[in-house]
Amino acid sequence: MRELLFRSLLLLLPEEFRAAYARDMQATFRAELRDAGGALSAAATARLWAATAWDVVRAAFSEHADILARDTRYALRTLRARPAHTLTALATLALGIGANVAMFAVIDGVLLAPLPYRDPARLVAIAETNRSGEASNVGYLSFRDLRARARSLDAVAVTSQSTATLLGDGREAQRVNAMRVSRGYFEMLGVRPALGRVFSEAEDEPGAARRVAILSDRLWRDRFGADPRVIGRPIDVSGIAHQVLGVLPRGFEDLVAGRLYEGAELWFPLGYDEAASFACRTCRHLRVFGRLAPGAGEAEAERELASIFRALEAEHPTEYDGAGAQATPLAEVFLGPVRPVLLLLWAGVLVLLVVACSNVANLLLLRASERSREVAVRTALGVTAGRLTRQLLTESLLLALVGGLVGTLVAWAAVRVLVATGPEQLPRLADVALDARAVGAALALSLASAALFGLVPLRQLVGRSGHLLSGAGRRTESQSTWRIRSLLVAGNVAMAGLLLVGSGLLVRSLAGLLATAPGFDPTRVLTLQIWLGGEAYRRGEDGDQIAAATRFYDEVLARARALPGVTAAAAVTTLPLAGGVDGYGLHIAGRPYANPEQAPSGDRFVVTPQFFTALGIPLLRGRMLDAGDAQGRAAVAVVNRTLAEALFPSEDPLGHELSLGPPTAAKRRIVGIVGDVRHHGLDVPVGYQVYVPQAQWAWAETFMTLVVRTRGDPAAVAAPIREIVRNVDPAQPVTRVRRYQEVVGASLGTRRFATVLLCAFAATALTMALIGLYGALGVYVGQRRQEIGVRLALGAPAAAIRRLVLGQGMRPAVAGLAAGLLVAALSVGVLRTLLHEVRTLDPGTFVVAAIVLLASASAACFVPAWRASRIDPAATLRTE
Amino acid sequence: MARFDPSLHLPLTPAMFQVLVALADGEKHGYAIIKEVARRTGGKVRLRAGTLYTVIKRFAADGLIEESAERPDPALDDERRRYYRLSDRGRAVAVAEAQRLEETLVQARSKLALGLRRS
Repeated sequence: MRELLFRSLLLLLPEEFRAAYARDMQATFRAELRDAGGALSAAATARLWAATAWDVVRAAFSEHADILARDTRYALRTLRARPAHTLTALATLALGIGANVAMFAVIDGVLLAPLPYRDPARLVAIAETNRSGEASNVGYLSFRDLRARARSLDAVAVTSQSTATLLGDGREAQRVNAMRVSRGYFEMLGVRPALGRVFSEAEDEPGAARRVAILSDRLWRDRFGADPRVIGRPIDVSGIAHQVLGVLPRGFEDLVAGRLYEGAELWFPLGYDEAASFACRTCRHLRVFGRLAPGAGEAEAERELASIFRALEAEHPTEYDGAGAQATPLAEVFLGPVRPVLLLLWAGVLVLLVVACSNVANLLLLRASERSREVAVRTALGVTAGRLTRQLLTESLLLALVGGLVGTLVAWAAVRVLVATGPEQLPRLADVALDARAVGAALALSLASAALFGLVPLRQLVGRSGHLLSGAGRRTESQSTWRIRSLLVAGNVAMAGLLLVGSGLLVRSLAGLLATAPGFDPTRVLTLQIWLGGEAYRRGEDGDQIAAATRFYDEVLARARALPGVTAAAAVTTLPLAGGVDGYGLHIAGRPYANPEQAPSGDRFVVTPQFFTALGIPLLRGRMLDAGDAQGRAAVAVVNRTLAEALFPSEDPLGHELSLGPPTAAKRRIVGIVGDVRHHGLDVPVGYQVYVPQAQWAWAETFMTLVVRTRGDPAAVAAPIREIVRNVDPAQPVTRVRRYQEVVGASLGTRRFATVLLCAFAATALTMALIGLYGALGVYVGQRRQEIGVRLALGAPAAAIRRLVLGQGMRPAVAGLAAGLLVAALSVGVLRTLLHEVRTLDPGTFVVAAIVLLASASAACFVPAWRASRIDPAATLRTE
Repeated sequence: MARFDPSLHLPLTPAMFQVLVALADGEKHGYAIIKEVARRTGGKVRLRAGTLYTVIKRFAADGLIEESAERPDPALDDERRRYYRLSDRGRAVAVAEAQRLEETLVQARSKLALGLRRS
């Protein structure tokens, strides 16, 4: 028993050491036990065993370390002896590992990191649905009833968009995006302010005695110099004194504010009066969030909320239409849309890593065949297979670790590039960095890849070294390594083909989208946002305020039009393709609905004169809107072609009247029909669109985007237009100044991002596959020098030799191509959600991928083939 | 071949030095070395098999000890044991290490004595 235990301990020692000394060590241990006598106390026995075990462990450690040091030195020598090979292998690994680590960091930071709220998995976003299943925001009264009735939610809160101009403090006016939130919003998220407190219940009451606000950490630092005395102090918000209640913690990255409210930095209480016109059930402009009660799931909450909506519909039948509810995990709201893209890219880099590993295996194999004699000699000298394996594994491990180290640097650079160039649709991208987890991933990947590529040549070398000393073994050896090598080459070509097909499909889809006519001409158009603040323009249904806003826009636009190089200038409430949504119910005069909720809905655009000219939207019939459509004159509207054709299939829409919003809203005569505009996305079908003159809308629209068409570079007029706005009203800041083409480009950001990256992966995989093919074929020719020399000497034409070698190389390439296309055909289904008007089995893409692969493979094979045909027969025969 | 320079093997660990010294008066097998070291140091240095054979392996590789023929150990029933003896090089290294220790000791003593006198 004791002997057995000691023998097991000795297994920790390296094989060589055991072979030499295990027997003596056992005898020594036996003698030690015998001398200690049979009468050892239990404590003494335990001490003896502990000391013995510790001694063996220490010895094992030092022996293994010794071997490792020797193997490492040996490996370094071998790797240095073939610098070109080593560098190729390292570069390949570094790219494979680097791409994977960078992608891991992005996925970790964007998808896997928990949302910055307490117990975020219990937070849900709630939407109201209608008969056709369309989800919408919620009206205030519906929210009030949900809050009172829902049992599956611990807390419910709503948010809406707001804006503010910070004045005073002797500083320039500053426009900030803001949010209105109902009571309990911050408590629901689990956010505690870093300073001060959040809103109380009373402060959310309509007509609360004083105005209050909460600041973001950034606003507190930038505008108020991180002064803690700001708490309780009044600040001037759009001319009204507000008391600062609190400052939110630093690093509280409010995804809701950041992603849904354009980076809001200021919070006000919602404070709605239930009787207010904008608090109605059909005024669906509030986003609802909730925290699931303990034990309740999303499905359960959704069922309960749907039943509440059904009850509300029974109570208020004209304000709902087939109402239901949707409860979506909050994380899904932000991450759901980008998950498929990131997972696709991850799959892409994993394929790339496999290609890199098999390419390195190929390189090692190539070296293995050069080293087979050395190994044979060492085996003959008594080096055991285990020892040899260990030495070769050390070599691949060393290669992998250095590759991993360089790969981490590659990843570091790649992450910086990704963060700088990634699309704005990717949430939390700015926070992505290489952290300990990513570096751990790099290490794990290095080890895994060492196992992947280290084992192939090992089997080749260690398993068959016996007969290598006799020259007879060489031929069979090279045949069998050629088999493995061509398998690796075929595999690499297959994976390159897979990536080529995938990226080809994305390219076609993106090209199609870029070629999609948006319905307007975004070239040479500058866009600038203006959000009118101050008492004079306060959003209200007061004619004076509308007039004030009209005067402001008229003045600014008139001066802008006078600038040299400007051909047209206008303003619009929601800029097409910029992400804004402004849906209204459409009621055609003379076509009443029993339930007005069943009326069609469309996008409403409030525009100034020259809007269609500035964007190049074609007028199809009737007239455009002009300065004559002023406040107090007959109300008019212009509709798009889709609306005209769908709602007036057999009539002339011109002269008909429609109202927007409730059926009781002001009627507007249709005076013109314009072309369709892609508003919600180049890949989203066009709906109904109604354009209304700014001077005739029901209230002063204070948030508008200026669109200025120029003859030259639109950016050139940015500064003069800012200057004009400053001169007309210095309190109105101009924000988000962009060329319209950038806006259109940004709307395709995620697609472009996925396409560019996948193309890069495909190109890298293809390059690696070609390097592998070229290298393998080079060795093949090298090993057959003599045979080829003899053939040439016997009169074989050079072309025949070239054909022979070319055929040898193209066989695995063609097999790999076939396999790659097959795998692609079976797996491109995962791309479906990312493709627009391109079939996953698009024959053109497959054909192009095949042609690219075949052409590049032939090019890679041609050089070795050409070299083979130039072998000097005399020289090879002499060496024979 | 270059002349053998024992100083290249210095300093030795205490265990290594004790093994060389234990072999100075004749060849021994492993357990005998352990016993000799324990006896000479009054039980203060207690080598165990793992440490001992790591040292033996290193010395054998460096040519400081040699293996003599295998034979039964009269003290251990009939078991066959491997015996080790000091080579000339090993002896030179042991002497060099002893000298090094002695010099270290002398220096330390004189320094400490000076220190004592000053205080």
